[in-house]
Amino acid sequence: MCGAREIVREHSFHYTKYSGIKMTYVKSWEEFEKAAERLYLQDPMKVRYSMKYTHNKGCLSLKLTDDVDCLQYKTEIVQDLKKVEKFINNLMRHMASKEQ
Amino acid sequence: SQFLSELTRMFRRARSHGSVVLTMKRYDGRTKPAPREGRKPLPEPSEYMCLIRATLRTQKISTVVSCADRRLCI
Repeated sequence: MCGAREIVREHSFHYTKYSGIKMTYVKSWEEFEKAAERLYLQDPMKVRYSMKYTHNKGCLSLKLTDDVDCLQYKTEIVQDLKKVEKFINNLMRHMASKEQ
Repeated sequence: SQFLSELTRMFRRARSHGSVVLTMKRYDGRTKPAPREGRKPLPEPSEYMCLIRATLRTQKISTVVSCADRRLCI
């Protein structure tokens, strides 16, 4: 089964463009955060953020998508939680504000 | 706040098995669908809000956070 998967390189980070096959997870938090912010600001109304927590696996999985591109990040480290919390706060602050 | 207490209960229930999925999306407050061509378009949204949904197995809860509420939420 063929499926094109482009690795788009822009500036210092890259993300995988979804084209119908399995999506990969972004390797580092910094990469994810930067790419996520960028994707969200392109069109805040199109993007949705989802977060899945499984306690018995101790795993937190994040996804930010505008139904064209998709960014995913997975973590089991407790230290990442603070970063995720900060990220969600910023996201919510922007979503519920008057900013475009 | 009712959402938050229910959400906490959800997380507690999910401790043994299952996962809680939390979703956030921007909401512009529109309750009507976009009108067809030639008709009056919907007015520009004056205020944006944040729609939050939480799912555990088959249970779904949601809430809308506006600018004023978000201080309580965060």
